Amino acid sequence: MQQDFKQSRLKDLEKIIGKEQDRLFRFAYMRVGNREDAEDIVQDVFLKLFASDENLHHVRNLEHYLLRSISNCCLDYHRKKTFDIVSIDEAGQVAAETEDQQIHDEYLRINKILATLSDEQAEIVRLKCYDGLKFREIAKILEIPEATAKSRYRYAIAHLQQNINENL
Amino acid sequence: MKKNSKSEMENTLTPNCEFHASNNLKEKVLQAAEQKVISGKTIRLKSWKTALATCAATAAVVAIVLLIKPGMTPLYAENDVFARAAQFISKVSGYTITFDARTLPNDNFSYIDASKAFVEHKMSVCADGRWQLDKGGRMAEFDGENVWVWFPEQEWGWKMDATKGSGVLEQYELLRHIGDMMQWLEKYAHSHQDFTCRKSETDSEITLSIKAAAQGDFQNDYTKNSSILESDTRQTYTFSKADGRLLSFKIDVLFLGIPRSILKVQEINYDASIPESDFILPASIEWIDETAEHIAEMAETLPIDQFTGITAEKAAEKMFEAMKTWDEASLKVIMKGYPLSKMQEKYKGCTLTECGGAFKSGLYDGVFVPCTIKFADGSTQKLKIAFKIDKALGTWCADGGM
Repeated sequence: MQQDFKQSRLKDLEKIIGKEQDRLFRFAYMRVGNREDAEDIVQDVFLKLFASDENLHHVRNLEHYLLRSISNCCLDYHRKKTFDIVSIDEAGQVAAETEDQQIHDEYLRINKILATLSDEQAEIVRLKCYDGLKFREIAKILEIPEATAKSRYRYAIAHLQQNINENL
Repeated sequence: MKKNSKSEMENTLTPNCEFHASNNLKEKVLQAAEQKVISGKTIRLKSWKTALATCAATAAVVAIVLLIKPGMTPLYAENDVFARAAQFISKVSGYTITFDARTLPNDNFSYIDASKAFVEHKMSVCADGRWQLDKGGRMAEFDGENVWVWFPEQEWGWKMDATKGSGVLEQYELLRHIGDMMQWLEKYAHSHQDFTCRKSETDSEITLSIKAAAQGDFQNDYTKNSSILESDTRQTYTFSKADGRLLSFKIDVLFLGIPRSILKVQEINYDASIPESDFILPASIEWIDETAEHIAEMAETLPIDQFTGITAEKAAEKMFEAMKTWDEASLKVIMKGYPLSKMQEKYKGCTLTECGGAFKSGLYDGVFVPCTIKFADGSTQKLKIAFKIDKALGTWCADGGM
């Protein structure tokens, strides 16, 4: 019985990984900027999900659970990795593996734009633009009111527009 | 000078390339998961859903003004479509409904799981009031005297009084009152704001399309989407216009507004011949007696006082304290309904290392207590154990999640 349960849980996990791994990888990569760390974070989150008492098939909550977990892990990553932090301009000099050149360039390009925003605003922009989430989903993940998510996003976009227009 | 529109800005902020995780990421995670010492939840023994299903079934029964079963004579106007439905069912000798639901074969009848494969269920209802529901790994029947629920593979089950056992069918209780289903659905829709019901007709059929919001308190959403009642659903019931018979029904669960089929009917067979042999109980089952008579005896001989007047967390502490030495008298109270002989192998010598933060969720009338336990072999497991006050004993009892 126990074995059946475990096998069934592994199969559930396999399905979830198959469905979510690219999206979660993108989510993590766009926050940490390198494949190795992004995949470590994704792996840790999947393993925590598997080891937890969470019901793997609470589908509605699962997406939020995974995104929130990745988001938290990325925050932890930045807190712990202070010795590695470099500016966005300098970051371009950090070699990306050749196969990841394109995604690394995108990471640098977008994060350079977001660098003028507060952390809170930048994260909402990421969730909205990178991850295609709705405001009510963003609000749930960040545990803030939906109206706050909307207003932060609106201010962020207005600020970025102004910056770009001034530089045209 | 061209101004950047918001959509252009959003496009600028959207990555313009595909992101793919490494080919071996899935394999790495699965290998690591396999190596992890996860003992997992055991079968969800007794149903922590029983209570909610009983509530729902009770609500249904209360709402039904005219309760007609096969063989009974209806007393109301024949030109009413409800009357025809009830009259139709009163004339059949019995019926079977075969339907598929996404769930686990041995879990509670109310348990649904949108990511699982469909499990075939067969409900049989006889004119004399006997019924049976079979979902493969879990079976229940009323044989005219007692209600029985059992797990064929695990070879154990419960024997209950007929009066106490009406909740065991949980969300499928309504299928025992099929003649009144349409009437109940309409009445229920009128009395619940979060439940809308639209009727459409063709020359031959009446269809009730229902949208129901998840019921329950989801400040903690642990039980959200784990039963039909605790999910946002879209339900469709089709009745024959000619004789009122239920022709089919299907239920979709709505995840972020996107429907996912959770239950669909294969066949409804009216006037089905239900063989007597279907009601013969298997001989190999170890039955736990939950009849009122037996519970009264238990109350006289067992230390029930130690599980009254305390918090659920304290009850959990005492339960694991009793497991250390396998204090069977105490465990018979707090684990009433569990097959102790089968649980002993896993839980004897087990200790509680963390416990607290009991919470309620959804429609469950008990509480969930997060516990971290350490087994005799040193391995650990996190559980959310359902505890509720047992009405018969008046004590806390573990009700699921172990």
